[in-house]
Amino acid sequence: MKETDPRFVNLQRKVILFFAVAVIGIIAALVFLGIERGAFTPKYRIHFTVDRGTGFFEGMSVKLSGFKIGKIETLSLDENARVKISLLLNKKYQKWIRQDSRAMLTKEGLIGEDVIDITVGAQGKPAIEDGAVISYEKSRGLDELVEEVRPVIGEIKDIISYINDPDAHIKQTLANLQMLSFELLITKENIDKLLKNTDVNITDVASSLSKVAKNIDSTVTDIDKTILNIEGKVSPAMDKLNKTMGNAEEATSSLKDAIEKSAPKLPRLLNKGEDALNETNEVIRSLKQVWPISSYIEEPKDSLLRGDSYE
Amino acid sequence: MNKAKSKEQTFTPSLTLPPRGGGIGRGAMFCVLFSVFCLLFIGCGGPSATTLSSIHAQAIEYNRNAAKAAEKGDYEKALDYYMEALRINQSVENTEGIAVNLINIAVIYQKNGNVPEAERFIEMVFSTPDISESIKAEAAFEKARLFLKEKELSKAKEWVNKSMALNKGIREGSRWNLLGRVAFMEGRHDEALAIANTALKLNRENKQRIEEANSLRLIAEISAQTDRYEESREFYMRALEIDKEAGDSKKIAIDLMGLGELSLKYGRLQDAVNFYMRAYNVSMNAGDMEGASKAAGSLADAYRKSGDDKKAEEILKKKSEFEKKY
Repeated sequence: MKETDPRFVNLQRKVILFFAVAVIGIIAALVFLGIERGAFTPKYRIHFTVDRGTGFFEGMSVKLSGFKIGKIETLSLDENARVKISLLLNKKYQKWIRQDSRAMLTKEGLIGEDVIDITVGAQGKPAIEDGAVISYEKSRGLDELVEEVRPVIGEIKDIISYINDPDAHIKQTLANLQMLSFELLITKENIDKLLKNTDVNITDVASSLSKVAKNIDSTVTDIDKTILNIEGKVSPAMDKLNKTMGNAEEATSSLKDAIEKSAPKLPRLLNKGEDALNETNEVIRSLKQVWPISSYIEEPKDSLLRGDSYE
Repeated sequence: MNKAKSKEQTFTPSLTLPPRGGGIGRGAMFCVLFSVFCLLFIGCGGPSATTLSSIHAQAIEYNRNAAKAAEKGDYEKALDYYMEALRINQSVENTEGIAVNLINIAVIYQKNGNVPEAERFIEMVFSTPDISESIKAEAAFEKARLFLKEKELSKAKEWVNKSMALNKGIREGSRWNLLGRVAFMEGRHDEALAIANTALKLNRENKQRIEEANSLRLIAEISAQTDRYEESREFYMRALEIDKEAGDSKKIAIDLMGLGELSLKYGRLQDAVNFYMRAYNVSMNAGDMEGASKAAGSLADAYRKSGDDKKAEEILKKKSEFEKKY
């Protein structure tokens, strides 16, 4: 069959060319993806052994100074039922992973993804060879931090209960001071009475001078007694107050120590939490802009609270 | 001749030419290639989502939280959130946002019974520049509601008409409802009934279910006033059905109270007791102590009229107990 219509001349060649362009495009995309994902990058393996495989999984990222350099290739049990973890790493980073480098399981951010972090080895040490073992160090998690903070909280609790204890020095001292002020009030009343008596006596000086003298004597004796009484009560109260001040000073220094221990950790924890939330927000915001999700999201705006005609 | 024709037909170009050498057809090949390209480029299309500045997003967040608090009846919290949303919108001179939040604050103050503050905020809406007619219409309607609450009927009517002149939209039925209430309060029952029927039609057309229930309740009230028992009862029942569907406890209690009053008016004492009891239970369980107190008073009245003084006393005792408590 021969085609005479000029539109169909060389149609087969055009179709083949069209198909070839598509196939080349797909192959190029696959090659590009392979390069992006490091399929053609030279790699090497190292491994370490842990008692429990909890938290590890195949494909888990391995990072060096926060930079992804490989992943967990396999997890397997050895003859002693310990977990052997084999890491597949990019060859070009081998120079930094030296004999004294350590691997540890850690989290990215407070609630981030679990990763294996490898420390950079000391200069001068030889690099770990393909198939060699890297030492594993157990990292400190949130539980350990909580355990560290727990005694500090306990100390603070003790101090508060000490201050609140009705038998403690602070409370007793306050009670003594209250009693002292009450007795001073009685003394003042006595002195007032005395002054009144004196007035009466002065008006009746001629008739009862000797009586007045006697009264004054006895009053002076009363005052002496009262002063002695006050002295006797003030000095133990002052001693107790001094002791209490000493205790309060001790308590303050313990509290200060406790705060100094825990304070540097708290902002870090808070910052990590905030970072993690910000990152999550960014991911959600980006997802919202991806088609077709974006087409289901309404443009947000201030909503009007509409008044009801019957209210 | 026929042969020649047949020969010409043989050379007619066609996209469904028979395959050569047993390969796939050209049409099929086009389909395959087209599919490959579609697969390659799928996902590149589609509109991108609108992105808001963080300050606008923050204001909207406060506005939404306020609406949630208002829905739960926590007006104090709602007011705090709306004030914050207003402050943020003012800081970026977002006039639409400012006007919306001013109206919302006025609505909350009105719900709280603070009419002077509600009026103050509504007045501020009218001095906000560059706002849409629909927002101005909503503000005018809110002002009309405030006048109605203060029993200034002619001013209420004036502002409802202003609201309708500015913008009708899907809320037109609510405006007619308010006009109907004004006419009813002025004692113009026939006019009120005609207006309420117009409102009912508009609310049904615009699918405004809450306002539809308001129209039905208004018709029921007018019917009760004009001695049409059956009609009134039927409209109350229909309003009750919609309010139950909407889950609005306050309105459910109002419908039941209306039915109770209607039954009492026509000497159906047992029905009245049942309706008042239901209204009392709804209000108590919704935490509406004012509504519960009113229902208890009416219930005691119904018991007394039906000769059960003992129960009337019990209810009144219970009423005074919880009035002291709250």
